[in-house]
Formats: sequence, structure tokens, C-alpha cells
Amino acid sequence: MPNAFNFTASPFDCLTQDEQRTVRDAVDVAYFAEGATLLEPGDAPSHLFVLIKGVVAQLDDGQTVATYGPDECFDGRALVAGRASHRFVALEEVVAYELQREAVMALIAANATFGALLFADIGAKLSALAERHSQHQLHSLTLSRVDEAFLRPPLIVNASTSVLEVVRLFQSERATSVLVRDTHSQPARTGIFTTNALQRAVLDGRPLHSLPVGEMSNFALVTMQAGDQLGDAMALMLKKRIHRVVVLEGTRIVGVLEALDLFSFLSNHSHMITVRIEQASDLPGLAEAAAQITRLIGLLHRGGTRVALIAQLVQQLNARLFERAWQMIAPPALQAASCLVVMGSEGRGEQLLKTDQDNALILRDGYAPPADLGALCDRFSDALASFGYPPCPGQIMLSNPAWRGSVSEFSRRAREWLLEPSDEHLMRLAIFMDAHTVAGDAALLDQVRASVAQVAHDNDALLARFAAAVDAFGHGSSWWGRLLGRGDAERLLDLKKEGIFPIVHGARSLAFAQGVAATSTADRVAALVQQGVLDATAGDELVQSLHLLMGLKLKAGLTELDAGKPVSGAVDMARLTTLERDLLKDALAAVKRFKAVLRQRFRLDTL
Amino acid sequence: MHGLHDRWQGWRRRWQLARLRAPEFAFMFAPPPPNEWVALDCETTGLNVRSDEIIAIGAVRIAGQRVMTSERLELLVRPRGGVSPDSVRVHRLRARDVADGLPVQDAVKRLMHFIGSRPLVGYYLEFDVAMLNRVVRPLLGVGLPQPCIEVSAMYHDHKFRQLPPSHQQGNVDIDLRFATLMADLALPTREAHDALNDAVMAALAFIKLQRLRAG
Repeated sequence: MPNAFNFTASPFDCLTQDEQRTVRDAVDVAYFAEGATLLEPGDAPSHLFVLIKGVVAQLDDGQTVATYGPDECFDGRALVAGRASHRFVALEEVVAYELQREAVMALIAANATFGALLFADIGAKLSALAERHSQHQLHSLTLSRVDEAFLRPPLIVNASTSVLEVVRLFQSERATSVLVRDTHSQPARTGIFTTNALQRAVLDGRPLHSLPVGEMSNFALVTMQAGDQLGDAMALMLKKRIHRVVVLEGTRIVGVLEALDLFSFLSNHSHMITVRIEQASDLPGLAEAAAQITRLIGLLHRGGTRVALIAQLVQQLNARLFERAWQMIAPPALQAASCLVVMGSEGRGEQLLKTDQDNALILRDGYAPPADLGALCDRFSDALASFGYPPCPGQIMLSNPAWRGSVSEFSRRAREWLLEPSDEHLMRLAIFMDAHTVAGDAALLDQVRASVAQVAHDNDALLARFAAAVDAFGHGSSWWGRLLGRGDAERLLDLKKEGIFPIVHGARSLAFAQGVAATSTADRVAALVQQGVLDATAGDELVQSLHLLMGLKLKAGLTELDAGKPVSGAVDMARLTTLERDLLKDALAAVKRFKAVLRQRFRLDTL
Repeated sequence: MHGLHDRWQGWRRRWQLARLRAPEFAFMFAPPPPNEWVALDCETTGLNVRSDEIIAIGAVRIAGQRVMTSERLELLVRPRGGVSPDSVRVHRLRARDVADGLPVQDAVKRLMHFIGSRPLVGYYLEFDVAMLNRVVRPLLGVGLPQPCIEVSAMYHDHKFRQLPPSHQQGNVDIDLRFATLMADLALPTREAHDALNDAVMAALAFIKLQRLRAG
């Protein structure tokens, strides 16, 4: 049975052959009846438990803080500290490997990844994970399909076209190559003429206006299929010392892949979308670019890019997309005298897959907007809908008159939200607190913010009501039960309700109370740590947990999109890997600790 | 009753000790350490106790509720005869796999040192002990002196106790196959017919059945 030790489960999946042998030689098998205690606070643990069968609960003062199932292990921290601080009880009869402490210590010393995965806090676990991922990143990008990179649409000319005309085409289309169709040969053939061949054409001596491009073209085309891998395209270009390959779908030419585009895709694939957004001349053009953002997210995620980085990139792309759309719709005078803001997750820069549009328009005091302002705003909301951002069910968008208005109107509304804190008003306040300018005069938003800040922040009852929403979805500890994956109905966990919202809103509430202006959760937490409201470890843990939850939500969402289903925001426990479940447990435990901090800070229990 | 049994065990031990040919193995007759057992399994070239040979031995110490797999004994034995194709199909040890094995006397000596005076545990242990005793008897003058605890018998008793009293008489039909037993006890199984795996699984069944008997 030591030979049957499962080395595919984390953290043991990072061990070398020799290290696996260390494990096999230092592992015993123990049996525990239901209800038996495996580890008691104050015990000096002599081994790490790795469950083979059964379920173990980790209790802190009688409260379950985590559960462990097959292939999961505990308690790494206690093992290293030499002292257990929690009680571990068999919820069901347990058969477990017991890995001797000396062996665990030897593995930690020999293999840093193992150590990090085993007992470090969630941040270290994640960076250990990222380290493993980064090795695969370039690898997986090179496995992308050729047509996922930017393909230049093919420019095709007849072989009888003069070189001079082709050069004019190069100029007007900013191209460096054309495909040349020779219909006189039997059978008809296609070649390529590039700027490099132009030198030979000039040196040929014949006048360029009468020199047919066909004579100067290379008819030994190097082609690839659209479904081939980019890595192969790169290898082919290097081997043949060429700068372009013609990409086919069957026998049909779909475009030309240039070396420059290939390398820029591999180094910075967001670049192409930016180019498309910049170059789009109308709304349908922007919609095409918008459609690419989701694909890019999937690609980056599969490539193992950190979720915080993806979110940042998406925020920049979206902001630029919205700005360009607004520029195409609104007259310049309106653009200059107003401020277009996005709110909610988009405002915080924590949105990944497209969600409801939350946006608003703030007008300069004294500016008389055009008479058709309503129609313009409707067009903007429609444009966003055509980009794939569904209209907000709560109508929090500028097509709704309640979400557009002058600085003083917004200031008055915001003060109303504060003075009459109904649930509806507090929700609006929360959404508005995350506002972020994407187009126009950002100073207008700052003015509204400043006037909100004038309203007293030391109103404890108001703050408590505001913060109390962290418990709005309170499920007690039921989500621990779901982690066990018993029964289908219980396997789905709403990450937003259980984890993301409490973190985001908790940070927002503390930021509100402390007068922190930052809008992203990470920045808010950083400011709160600086002010000493949160300690640095707790802050780090919160941000890492948020990013983990966002990543899991993204992964589940992409899976749903692949299956042609709408994104539900729920994650299926059964689809998580052991490590992901492990990390999720840590993250949810961090959320729970944070809620306790909030409860104490805002005295929520007295409400 | 208990006292009587102990006294009989003591007498038996002394009687065997008196016949012991090799004094260096006297430790096997010492009182066993409390709460310790050794689970044992042998792979053989066939099922004939007279003519077949041992080719692998797996043994593991049980301490309380723990199977000490970190101190396991896994030995390959070089048989004098060949390995029949039929038996290879069962344990997947080919002649070349056991060619580097120990001579059976050396293997059994190491096993005896490993066992010490601990009682033996196994599934269909009678067969394994009979195979071993063919080597042990010429060495010691007596067979393995330990009490043997049969897991299938424990399982039988356990199932029998669960029957309604009206059924608890005569011959009861209880499926004693190892796979059935492990599944019924909800214990994890590993590939069977690997001597060590089999010993570990028997050890787990023993621990659980002992626990069930204690209530």
C-alpha cells in the first residue's frame, strides 16, 4: 500500500522520483473510528496525515474551520511549529497515511515548491503555483492555433500587374507583401511578392511600370493550416528563414501570418486588440475588437497568467473600448463637459468576463447638454450591449436619467443616499463608491466624491448599516459542507456571494469609514494596511483570496462559455482539483476571519 | 477461562522452547509486546503446500490502530523450481523477477527476526504458515510458535453476530472472499496479489474488525 501512495495529488505531485521514495519509506497507515480525535491542541504532531478514505473536520474552539477528504493532508503548519493548535476529528471512519515528521522536514528542505504548497499561507501557495505555471506559459501560447494570432487579410493581385502598381498598393495598404495570382500557367498558381523582392525588381533594370510582378514573385509558397500550432509556425519560419507564412483553411487562403505579428502575439497578445480598438472606424468595428477580449482572457488564463494581471489588462482594454464608443456617439462639446464613469466591478478593475454594464454620466455644472442627450445615452448603452455587455437589470446605466446629471445633482443624490440610508440607497452608494472615469473630464467625478466626503463619516449607525451587507448572503458555515462534494445540488458554490462580495464590500466599508479614496479592492486594502486598520498579513491574505476566487470564477465561467452556456458565477466543487479545493478552503477561512473583524469594527452583532 | 488459556499458551511455549534446535531464535518465544501483531502474506508458485514454493513475502507490523508500513518487510525469494505460467498470471512475478531473490532459508530467517514474538495476522493464514513451516521446522525443530489470527474467521464472527438470533444456528452462508470482506468493511483496497499490499489490507481489516468487536 505504500506503493499505492497517490503522487498525483498536491503537494506530493511536485516530488522527484527520489523524493517519492522518501515518502514511501516513511509512511504508515492508520485507522480511526468515527468520532476519534486525530490531533489535539497542544499535541506535538509526529506525522502529517494524508487521507485515504473518510472525512476529517478541523475544529477551532468547537467551530469547524475546514474539512479534509481523500488525498488531502494536514496539518503542515502544526508539524513545523511542533505544536497543534486545532482539534482534528474523524467525521467518518478514516483510513489515513501518516507521513513521519522527519521525512516531511527533509522534503521541505529539498523541495521548495513542496514546502510552499504544504503549509505556507495562501499567498505563498499561490506564488508557488504561479511558479509552476510560468514554466507552461510560453509553452501553452505556442500551442495556440495559428489563426488565434493576428492574420493579415490577404492582398491578391494578378501576375500581370506592374511592380510599380504593387508598390502603390504597399503604400496605400501599409502592407509589406502581396499574393500573386498567375492564371496563365497550367494549373493556375499563387505566389508571393514582398518588399524584399522589390530590391531584386529594381536591380533587374527594366522600368518598374512595365515589369509584371509575376516575373519577380516566388511561387514556392510556404503554407500552414489555420488549425496548426503557432509553435510550429515559428519553427517553420526559423527553419526556412522566412518572415511570412500563408495560412489556409483547406485550400482557401485566409490570411498571411507575419513573423512580427507572431512574435508580438507571443510577447504581448493584448497589443493586437488595442490596435483593433484604435483602428476601428465605426461601432461594428469596435464590436469585433470587443469579441476578441473574451478570447484573449481565455488564452491568458490557460496560459497561466495571474488573474490580477488579466483583470488589469481587461480594465484597460474595456476603458479604451468604452471611450472610443463614447467618442463615436457623443458630440465633442458633450465629451468635454462631461465625465463618463464605470462602476461596480468594472470600476474597481476586478471584472474579467463581461458582466452587466454599470455606468453613469456626470455633467459639468452650468453646461446645457444637447437636446438629444437621452437618445445619445441610449445609443451608448445599446452599443455596449452589442459588444456583449448586457444591460444592467437594476438600470444602473446612463440611459436611465437617474444615472446622469450635473455635479450638483449627483452630489445631492449621493447625500440623499447617506441621509436616508434605505437598502436601495446604500446599494447605490456602494456602486457609486467604485466609480472610475473612462472618458471626459475626470475632475467632475472628483467633485462629486469630495461633496460626499463632506457628509460626516463618523456616523456609526450609517456605517454599520452599510457594512452589514457583508452578511447579506450569510450561510453560516454551510459552505464547508459543500466542499465535501456530497450530493449534486450542494456541489455548486456561488463564489461571488460566499467570498468575493464579502471581501469587496468589507474593504469598501472600511475604506468608506476611513475616508480612503482608492476604488480597487487591492488599493483599498493597501491603504487600510497603511493606516493600521488591517494588519499586513491579513491584508495580503484578503487580496490573494480575492484573486483566487476571481480565478476560480473565471475558470468556471470559461468552461460554461465553452459549453455554450451563459456564465452563472457558480463553481462546481467536483470539478476543482485538490489544490484548488485546498486553496478555496483557505480563502473562505480568510473571508470568515475578515467578517469577524468587520463585525467587531462596526459592531454588527448589536444591529 | 482467560487465566487458563494464558497458562496453556505459556506451557505450549515452554514445550516448544524445549524442542528448539537453534537457540538464537529463542526471542520468538518471549512474551509478545502488548498491542502488537505482524500481518503476513506470501506469494507462491501454486497452492500445493507440499510441492509449491514461496517466491515473495510481505509483512508489516501492526501497533495499536496503526499499520507500520514504514517498517515493512518485502522479500523476493528465488525458487528452486520454475515459476508456472498460471501463477505468474496471479502475482505477475516472472522467473526473471525472482532470479535475484534470496534463498528461502535466508528470507525466512529475516522474516522471523521481523516477526519476533508477535502474534500473526492474515487472510487464509493457515496456508502461508504451512508454506513457511516447511522451512521453519528444519531450522527450529518446531513450527512458528505464534498464535495465528485469521481475518476471515474474525469477519465470519462479526457477520454472524449481526444476524438475527433465529438465523444464528447451523451452517450460515457468509461470503468470505477477500474482496467482499474489504468492500463490506468499507476499507480501501489496492491491487491484490502483491504480498505487501495483501498484508497491509489484512492488517487494516484486522484493526477494523477488532474495533467492531470491542463495540
